[in-house]
Amino acid sequence: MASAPSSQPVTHSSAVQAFAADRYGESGAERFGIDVAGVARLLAEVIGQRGGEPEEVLRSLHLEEVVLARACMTGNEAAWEIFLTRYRALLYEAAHAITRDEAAGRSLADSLYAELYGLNERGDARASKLRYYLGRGSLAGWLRTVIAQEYVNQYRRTKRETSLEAAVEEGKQFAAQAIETQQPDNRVDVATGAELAALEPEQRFLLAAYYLDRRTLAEIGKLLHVHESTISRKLERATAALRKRIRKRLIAEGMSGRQADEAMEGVDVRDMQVKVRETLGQDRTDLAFYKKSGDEG
Amino acid sequence: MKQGLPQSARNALARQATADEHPSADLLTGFAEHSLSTAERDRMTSHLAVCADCREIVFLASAAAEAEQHIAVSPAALPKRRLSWASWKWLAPAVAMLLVVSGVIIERQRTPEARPAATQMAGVPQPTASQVAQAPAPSEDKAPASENNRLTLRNKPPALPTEKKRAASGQLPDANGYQYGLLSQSQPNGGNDLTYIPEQAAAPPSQARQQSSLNMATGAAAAGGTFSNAASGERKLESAVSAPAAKSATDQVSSGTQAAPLVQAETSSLVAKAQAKAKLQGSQPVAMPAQRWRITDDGHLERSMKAGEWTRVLSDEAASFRVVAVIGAQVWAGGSRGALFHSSDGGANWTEVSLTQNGQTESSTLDSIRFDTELQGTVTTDSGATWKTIDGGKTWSRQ
Repeated sequence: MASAPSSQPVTHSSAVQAFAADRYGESGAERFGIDVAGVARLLAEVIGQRGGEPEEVLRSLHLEEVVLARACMTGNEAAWEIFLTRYRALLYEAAHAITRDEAAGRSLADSLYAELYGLNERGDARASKLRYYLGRGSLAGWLRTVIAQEYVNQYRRTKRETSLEAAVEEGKQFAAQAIETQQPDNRVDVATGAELAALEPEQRFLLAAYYLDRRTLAEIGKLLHVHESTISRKLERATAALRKRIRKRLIAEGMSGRQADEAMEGVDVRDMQVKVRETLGQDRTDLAFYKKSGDEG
Repeated sequence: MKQGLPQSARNALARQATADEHPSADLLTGFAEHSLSTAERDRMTSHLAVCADCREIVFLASAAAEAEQHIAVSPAALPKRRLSWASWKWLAPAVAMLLVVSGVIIERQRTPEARPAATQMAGVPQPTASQVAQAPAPSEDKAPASENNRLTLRNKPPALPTEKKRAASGQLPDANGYQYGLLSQSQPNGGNDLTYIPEQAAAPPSQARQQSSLNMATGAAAAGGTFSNAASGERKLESAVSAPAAKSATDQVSSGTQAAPLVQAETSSLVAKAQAKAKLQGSQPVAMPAQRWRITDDGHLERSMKAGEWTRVLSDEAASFRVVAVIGAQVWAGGSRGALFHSSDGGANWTEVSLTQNGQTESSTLDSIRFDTELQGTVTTDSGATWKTIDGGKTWSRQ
């Protein structure tokens, strides 16, 4: 799924060249001294990095912003002037909105800005993070996402550095011991896992966002571009269907209806520590986003 | 949710893990902006269902975008939700009912002495109340023109305290002391724009506060009697009031002392006309016109009153603008060499603000302006300086 930059030469198809010639004016490439052939080369690189059908890539490409990003990547002064005018304020605002702290937001934005500018030069080539912008969405949206990634990564790094004493104070060592000894009814796990896997990906996403992450209906609705009432309906439908199917499967396994209901809710207090650990299961600390996704960063 | 997710399902959800690599920021952005292909979107949804970290990222980015919209766009300029057909189908009967009721009320309130005053208002031929009343029932295609006449006659300036008493006692306000500039039916937009300028009329403080948000019209009038019309571009303001008189009115409104009401109601539908009438009568707070702001690539500040049409603001300033922030009617724009401009009336009038402390004036480029309230704000520069105000920009302190 990651889209690491490809160094393979990409054949310039006639479709790409025609697209470059046709959209040259709106690409804004002229102000950066990039000619039609240069735009075609740039497009071919992006298609190579993204993969997929060239026509599909070109159809959804944010052309003007990709050209701007590529021009910045090469150190074009005019491009950087435009980039700063458009996105400098956005960077700081987004960083502040994400960190909710003036100093932390500024620090985050500054560090990202340095990476975008490509201060760590390798020989003559800049190492700008902008090379990972491939025009699927807007450049502004990409910048926000990168800031959010950086923020989550920082949080993970900080969390890993938590001292053992602090972990003990939080009671983690006791929770870990309890896991091996307390196992809930295996039939419930099997039935639940199987029925959960049978749900549509979107249903599982909604359930995870709402029940695990505790996102509000409005937040989920905004992300998916649908009204929160639609999210509510979908969640209700998914929850009811899942409950019904797990119950049916447990009864087929030999449980009574009441036993199935109790098993699904896991009312045994002895399971509580297990559930705390399990609930944090997706809260993995050993991940570094960019390292795994094309060495971004 | 009527019945929550079973605990076992929550546990199973939490246990889900993915062996996939995390998607790139480009893919996450495409997901959030709904620009992925179907196949890409399906893969992304599957990943997000099992990856708490990537969910966190897309929600954080989404929240940041939402926060920026609130900062950079005035509330009035937020995109309006498109009405569905189910909503529109009630609109026509509702408007018809409103017009009928309004017409009946207005006709009942009209007295013979008020009619001549009304017909004198603009010095343009207007049908008398009796003509309006005797006019044949409008057919559908004639309804707008007929409605325009009636609306023109109905519009009155905000009642002064004495006039309010008279109105309460059944007497209608006299138009003496007012000069009116009314757009006649011959206007290109069919008379949808209504403007009246009372001469030397003191409005109550509450009205003055309401009118202060309308300086865009006064500023334009003072600049030579023209104003920018979102529907038809720049046009001459047809008014019985001379430019100096308009300027006088502008000054009064700007000073906030004796506010002379000058209202430009920009409407395009019968409903909007009714709303304009309510505004003119001062029965409701007057809303700021919808507007958006942006900084162009070459560092100019621009305002849009209508989708796709942008007008340059502060074009005479040498500064190259970098950031604009809006909170309510307060607009702040900053740029190179410490340039900071403030408008308290939605962008009609501007004041240059100097960021100075202990004799040191800020000369770096402003790269961020953020106001949590109209009083409390922060400005940062590309040199790392942070300036704060807690009094709406009257004083600034460097942090």
